[in-house]
Amino acid sequence: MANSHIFRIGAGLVAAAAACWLATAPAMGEERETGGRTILDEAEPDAVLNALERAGYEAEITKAKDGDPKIESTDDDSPFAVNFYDCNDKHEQCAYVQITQGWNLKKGLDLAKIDSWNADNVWGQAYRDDEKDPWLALVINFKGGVTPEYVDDMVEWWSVIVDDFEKHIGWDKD
Amino acid sequence: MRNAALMLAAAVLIAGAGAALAEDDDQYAEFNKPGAIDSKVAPDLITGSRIGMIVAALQKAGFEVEVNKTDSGVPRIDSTNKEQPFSVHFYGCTDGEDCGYIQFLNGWNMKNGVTAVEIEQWNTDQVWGQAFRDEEKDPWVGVTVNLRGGVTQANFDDTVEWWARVLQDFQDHIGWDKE
Repeated sequence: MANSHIFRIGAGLVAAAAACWLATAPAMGEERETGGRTILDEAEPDAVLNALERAGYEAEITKAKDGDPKIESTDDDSPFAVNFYDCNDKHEQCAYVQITQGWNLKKGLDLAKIDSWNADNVWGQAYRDDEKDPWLALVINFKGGVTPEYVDDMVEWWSVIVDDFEKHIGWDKD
Repeated sequence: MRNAALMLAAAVLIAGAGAALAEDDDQYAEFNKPGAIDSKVAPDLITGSRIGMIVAALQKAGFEVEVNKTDSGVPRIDSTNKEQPFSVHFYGCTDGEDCGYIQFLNGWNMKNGVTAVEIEQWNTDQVWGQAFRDEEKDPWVGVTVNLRGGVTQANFDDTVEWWARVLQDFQDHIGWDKE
């Protein structure tokens, strides 16, 4: 149960997370303090990893085939990846990310199950791969600047929809 | 008094093209209900309680919209352009306040609907835009946007641009020809 320790963050934890952000701010040039709040101007791998770790996920920063950053879970029970998009020529300053995870089912999943997920759920885009295995994806847009609270909330949504999706597809860790 | 204040706000809006955000929001005072969460967010950031800022971003992107209210008292933004219908739904509200996220949504009434395979193709290939079918097999696409904690106007503008792109690309994908 990789996600059992993920919960809606209480006010105290938010404060602690905010303090953590301030403490680590100097190392991240992409953050700016303005008008009394912190703004993240780009999908910076360290910032995304920090948000994931604050929610209890274990992951590491790696590199995609095209040289762009990538984050991969190091927890076999929760094997998600974060893909970075719209990065510059130096593979930095990426505009948005997509958290994605696939589930290896013995017989794959019926298309109707994918269709009903996408029709009934506001968050989380479902699709299948060539082997009819189900995948779930969530986009987080950083372009133009967002608050750390927004990123934390998106990570929280990810944990919520992964739980819901596993129930939807009848995942029993086969 | 209330009407006078609204008219004054409207006059200010008309007088100054670069009207301050506060006046912008007054036009939608009925819908701007920052609760315990949103009232703590810096005033230049967009939250689900700042309808005027959301409408302004949509208008800046060329969309024509109006603000309506659902039966449950939550705001809903609707396109007033029949050539490009869509709506913006508000979610995660507490008693009509502090709506945490919104969904841009549109459906297309097709003669024969679309196949599940066409929808799945979109969802497999596209990062932006969640596609599905209704009971009549008509295609829909949505983009959900988190506003909890606040996003900058620049970020929201970019997301609105994505919505405009998704609308166009999805119409191409389903072969919509204004049938």
